Amino acid sequence: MSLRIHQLSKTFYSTDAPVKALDSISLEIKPGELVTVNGRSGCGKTTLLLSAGGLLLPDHGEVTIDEHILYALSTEDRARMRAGKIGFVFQQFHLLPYLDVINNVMLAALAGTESLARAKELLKRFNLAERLHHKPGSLSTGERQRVALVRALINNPLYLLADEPTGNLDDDNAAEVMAYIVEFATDGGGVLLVSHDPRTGDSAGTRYTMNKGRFV
Amino acid sequence: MKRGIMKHWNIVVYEIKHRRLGFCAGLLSLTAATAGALIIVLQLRAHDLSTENIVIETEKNLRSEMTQLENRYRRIMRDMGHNVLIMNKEQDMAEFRRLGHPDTYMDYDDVWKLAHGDLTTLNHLLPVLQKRIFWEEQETGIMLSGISGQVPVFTKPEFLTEDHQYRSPIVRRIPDGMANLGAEIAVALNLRPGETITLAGREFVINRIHARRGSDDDFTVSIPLQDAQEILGKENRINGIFALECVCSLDDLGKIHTEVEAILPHAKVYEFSSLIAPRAKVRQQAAEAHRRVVASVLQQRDEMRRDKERRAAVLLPLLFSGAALWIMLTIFANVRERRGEIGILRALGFLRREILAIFLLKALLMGVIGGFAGCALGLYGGIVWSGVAITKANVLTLLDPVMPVAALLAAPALACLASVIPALAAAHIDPAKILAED
Repeated sequence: MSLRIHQLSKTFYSTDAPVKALDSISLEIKPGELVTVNGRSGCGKTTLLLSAGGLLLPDHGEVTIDEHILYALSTEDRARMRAGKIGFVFQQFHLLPYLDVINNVMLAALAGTESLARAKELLKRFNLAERLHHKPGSLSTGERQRVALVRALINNPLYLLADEPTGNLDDDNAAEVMAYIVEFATDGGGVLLVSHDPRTGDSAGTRYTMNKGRFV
Repeated sequence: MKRGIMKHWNIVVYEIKHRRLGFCAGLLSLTAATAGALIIVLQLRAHDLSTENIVIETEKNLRSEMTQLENRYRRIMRDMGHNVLIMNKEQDMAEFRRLGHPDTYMDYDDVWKLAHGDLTTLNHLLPVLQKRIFWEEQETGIMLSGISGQVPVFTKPEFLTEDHQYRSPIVRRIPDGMANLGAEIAVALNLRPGETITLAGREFVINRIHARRGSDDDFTVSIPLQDAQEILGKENRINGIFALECVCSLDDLGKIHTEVEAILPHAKVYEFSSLIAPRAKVRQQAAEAHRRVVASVLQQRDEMRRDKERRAAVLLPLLFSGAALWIMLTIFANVRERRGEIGILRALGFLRREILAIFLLKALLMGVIGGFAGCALGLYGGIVWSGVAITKANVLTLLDPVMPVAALLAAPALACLASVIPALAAAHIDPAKILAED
């Protein structure tokens, strides 16, 4: 069981010269493994993460999740795969502004009552028990990212794909979020973390550095 | 594993609460379109109801006028006097016309049989014996007319006194030994009332000279019936019974025949159609005029309705297409505003059809609320502005249960149809593009 990326390439075409965002990238994330990809903005990290999550069709190569070739599946089956096996965390949190904390978390939940219990338990663990009915607008940035993290974990995913999860956080909050991500990996989950934030480099695990779509 | 519909419903409801303005804008257009449509339809129905009321009122007025006209004609007919002549069934009508009087006879008792019979159509009976003769004493031709007093019709006690005399006789009895003269004969022979004349060897004092009538009456000498019978050798015989002031119309003639012939099987009835036909003709013309008035009212109302229909045919599509366009723009704006949200929902594993459902549910909710609000406003406004009196009966006539049901179904359908394109656009937003923008 693993999330395997093999020879992944993606080029973006615009009015200017073509931009090669991914150039024959391969990596594998096994359960319990934290893979960090560092690199400067525009080096292709987010493209890698979106492709790994089944959201961006690569030009070449393939992504395999537990023996399923992701892009051989239909769009809707890929969505189902994401819902069941992948958790996403983004730098901008992307919480729905009109839903309170518990409803934002439950938004991603697939099952009914047991998800609600798990959501409350996770929020408690992430020190958000007092914030269940607060709207995102009334939360601090650290709290928002923790809510986003709980939302990513609500379905007990096998893999966590995190795009600059600490990018908007201060040192304390960044450390706290990283601690949860490491804990997820320690508990047997696979993590692909892409970031230009050097604070993420302290975590144990496999680390790649990316430049112009290639690992260096 | 699936997300329940409640989750989508939660998203819809909370989002509407969060972004009220856009939702209200769409809602307003739907409410206006639904209300407008109902008002237009109610106006058409009110027009039909008014037309119906106007026609009923016009017909009522015309019926009343017709009744008055009928009564006037009855009075005129009564005033015209003799309008039915009963004579022997064997009478040759060509001969009757040639001579100006019947030349067949009946018993004088026949008039009494009629008087005691079951008569409803005749009010006054006047037995006569007439014959054109040569007045030897004056060497001139005259119409000799023997008349008695009116014979009472016993089935019409309202005309009679207790001793069976007419309260107001139409024709007065000629006293014995007296005669009435027509105007022409009196002038020709230079005769005056009070003078004595000799007729067939009998002397009569002139009782009265009639005013000029322009008919055979002007050459008639009327004497008591018995004298005429003796002069003509027709004792106890008559050759006609005038029925005066008969309550007849063209439609009643059949009834008169039936009644008279039931009592006197050897008699027949001759009607002076020249008097009755014009009356019937006038009445037919009045009825025709009546029909023309109603037809004219109906035509006018019909033109007005067509005019209203033409306006409705322009307004209704305008209202609905305007509302649809406005909803589409509103939902498009909403999709644009929620691109980030759609991106993360897709990243969380929401299917395209779930995104589609979220926007269509919103449109459906807009349609249901807009439909109800528009229905309430439209029914209220439509009735208030219908121009008909607000009575329970009118309101019940105006309101067709199909209308609100149709409006309540049409509004959500319109909202959903108008939202299909923006909802599909939302469902096909590329989440990678949105998330990469961060």
